[in-house]
Amino acid sequence: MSHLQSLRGRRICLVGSTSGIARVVARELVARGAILHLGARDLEEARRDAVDLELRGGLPVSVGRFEALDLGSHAAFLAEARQRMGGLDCVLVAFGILGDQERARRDFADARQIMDLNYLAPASVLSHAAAMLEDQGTGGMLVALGSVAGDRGRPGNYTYGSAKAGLHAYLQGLRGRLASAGIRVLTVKPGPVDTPMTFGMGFPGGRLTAQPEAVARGIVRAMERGSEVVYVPCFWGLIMGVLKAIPESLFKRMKL
Amino acid sequence: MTKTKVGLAAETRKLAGWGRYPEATGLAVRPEKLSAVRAAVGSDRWSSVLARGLGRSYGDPAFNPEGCTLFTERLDRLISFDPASGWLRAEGGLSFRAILDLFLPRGWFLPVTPGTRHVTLAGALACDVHGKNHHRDGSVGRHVGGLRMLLASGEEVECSAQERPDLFHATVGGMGLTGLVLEAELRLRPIQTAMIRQQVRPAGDLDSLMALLEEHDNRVPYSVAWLDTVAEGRNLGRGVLLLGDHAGIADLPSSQARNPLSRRPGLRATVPFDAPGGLLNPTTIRAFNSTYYNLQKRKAGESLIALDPYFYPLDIVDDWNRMYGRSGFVQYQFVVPTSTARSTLVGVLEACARKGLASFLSVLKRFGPGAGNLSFPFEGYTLTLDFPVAPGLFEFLDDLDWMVLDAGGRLYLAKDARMSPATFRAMYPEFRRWLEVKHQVDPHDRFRSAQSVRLAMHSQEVSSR
Ligand SMILES: Cc1cc2nc3c(=O)[nH]c(=O)nc-3n(C[C@H](O)[C@H](O)[C@H](O)COP(=O)(O)OP(=O)(O)OC[C@H]3O[C@@H](n4cnc5c(N)ncnc54)[C@H](O)[C@@H]3O)c2cc1C
Ligand SMILES: NC(=O)c1ccc[n+]([C@@H]2O[C@H](COP(=O)([O-])OP(=O)(O)OC[C@H]3O[C@@H](n4cnc5c(N)ncnc54)[C@H](OP(=O)(O)O)[C@@H]3O)[C@@H](O)[C@H]2O)c1
Repeated sequence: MSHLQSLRGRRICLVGSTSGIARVVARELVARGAILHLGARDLEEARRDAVDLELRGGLPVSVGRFEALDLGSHAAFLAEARQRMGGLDCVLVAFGILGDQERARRDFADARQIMDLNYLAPASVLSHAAAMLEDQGTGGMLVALGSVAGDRGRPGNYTYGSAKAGLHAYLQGLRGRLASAGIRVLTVKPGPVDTPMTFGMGFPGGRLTAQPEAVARGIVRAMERGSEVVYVPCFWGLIMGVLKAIPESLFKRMKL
Repeated sequence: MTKTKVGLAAETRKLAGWGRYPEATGLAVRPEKLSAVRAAVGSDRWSSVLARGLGRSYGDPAFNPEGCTLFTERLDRLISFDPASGWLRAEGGLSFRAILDLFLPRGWFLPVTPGTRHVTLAGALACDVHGKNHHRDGSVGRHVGGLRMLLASGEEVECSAQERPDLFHATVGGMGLTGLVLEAELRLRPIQTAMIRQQVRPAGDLDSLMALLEEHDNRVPYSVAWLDTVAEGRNLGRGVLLLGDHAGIADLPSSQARNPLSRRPGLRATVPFDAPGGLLNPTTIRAFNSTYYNLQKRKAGESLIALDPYFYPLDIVDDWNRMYGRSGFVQYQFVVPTSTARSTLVGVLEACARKGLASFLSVLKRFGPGAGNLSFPFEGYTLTLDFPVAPGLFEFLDDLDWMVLDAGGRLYLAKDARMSPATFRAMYPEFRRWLEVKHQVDPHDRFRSAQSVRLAMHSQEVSSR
């Protein structure tokens, strides 16, 4: 395992910064001296977050409008982020939607939106960010939030799961492509996290639902370690290992 | 799951205060954004709303089972800080714990703090909480500047002691019933070290304990007494006075003086399940009282103690409220004027003894002048007692209410689960004036709690007069 890399002074662009997870990640990052640019579609919130983060960390935090579904705007968004921070070392893609599998089953437009927001749009941001870091030739890091749901398709959420699975594969490919350029690619696979995305869903086994603070610490630690794939909390690695090993013929009959 | 346009999901939760009595079930939302909190207050999916902080009030003031309870702990952003004056502006859900974590290392402390740091800024304000320095510095409202409030109408307004003072004073101590505090300003106080110079002074009976408390009124910023509720006869009301002051750098041993603001958080523990039948039963409580008195007596004298264990001894154990077991407990806190304090305290302690009731943690403290409206403290003595909920307890507490009322005293709403609307009105003569303001800003009682319903703190009363 490589030694810890300091995040001090690193210029990090958070894409989807108003997400429940990203907000706490941002606090962890400024506590470590990172410089942030927040991308969000809700600018009023993002500006409030930026002020909060500046007061916590004592470093400037900038804000830019980001609309995930407007793929054509992604390159300009990243260019602005780089310009506002005076450089770019890392892009962390956090936006996404869980959607409603029932509705997605009945109306493919809903399914498509889940796919767009969890696969297409993140891939678009990552492809522009990868090109930018490659052009700079300064190394750097790409991070994206996938999900344990992408490890195995389940009747309850396979639209979301398949989009996350696509994202995982995209990140794997990028990782190989960018390794020689010294650019690290980190795939984060959270289990259920207690955020607005899941509030009110009454997750069975509430104890398996993690607090965003714990997840954020896991993500930032993985960034410092230069990890490639990380489950947060880490026990999900074990659970998914077991679930993935179950033969399809048996898995399809399990009510999961 | 129900979702609105802003993606605000509600869930049905079991709701209770810190004493876990009473319990109810109701809808809950947990907004993380302004748009979400606005939508929740304005939503027609529920008939009424209430903001909740960290749920550290004891009885039923922090939930609304018939409407929707808004969990605000994620609305916790800092908005501004002026290092020249110590004025901090933040969202109402910011916790005292977070304020300490962020500002103690920079040399700032809370102007007033309750005995736990797990409270929110707005929750502390809504109860106008007091600390060990009330006799000198008053309650938290005295250290609050401007507020930004979200009213029932959806309007957002600023208020302070200068701007819309009626609304400001009705909100400080107003138990969340005038609107939702989005932002508040709190003036932090500069400190040099994270240590406290503590003095422990045992007193063998109530008279000497009260004399000690009064003697130190003007000399020491922090003062509070622990009372042995088991002692009887000539030991009745014996206790230990705990005095404190912030240590200066010169007070620290040289090893610590180099890092004067570093904290020593101490141990952590948790109560992972409900103690069967209650770990705290009459036998263990009696044993604890005597042991604690004798232990403290041996510690008499001066010492240096870390700030966290000094102010927050109970925070060492997470979820300590579970020690009382399933049926929960109530805290009974009253204040009586100095003139009637002694006779009331003797009366209450003797009544407890007759009933065979001992309180686990009993705290006696002097209050300075009060802030008016529904704010609890006024000049005199306050006593806090803990009792596990058991058959016969409430009849007994009704009797105590009479003693308190006769003495010109009142109960603390933040700890109340059971007083009657009539008792409340008799104890809070300013309620009528408060209600006028409530009526102006919330004529249809959009903001309600289980407590406000129980005590009939309704605007409707004004309009129907
Ligand atoms: C161990 C312990 C020690 C304590 N010691 C003391 C003490 O020394 N002195 C003292 O005074 N109290 C003390 N308390 C009581 C506690 O400090 C108060 O009840 C405090 O208000 C709890 O804050 P909270 O954030 O948990 O609020 P909650 O209990 O969640 O809510 C309290 C009230 O605040 C209102 N409220 C919350 N947020 C908002 C908002 N955003 N806008 C408007 N209204 C809002 C609620 O509606 C409710 O009426 C203690 C409690 C415990 C558990
Ligand atoms: N929570 C979990 O249990 C969990 C588990 C595994 C993986 N994850 C993944 O972790 C990431 C963060 O999740 P979270 O729980 O923090 O979710 P969240 O709080 O619901 O946040 C979702 C974020 O996506 C943004 N977003 C949605 N549509 C957008 C659009 N069209 N343009 C721009 N931004 C858009 C939202 O912006 P607004 O604030 O403007 O709505 C919000 O910031 C997601 O990728 C999620 O799939 C979450």
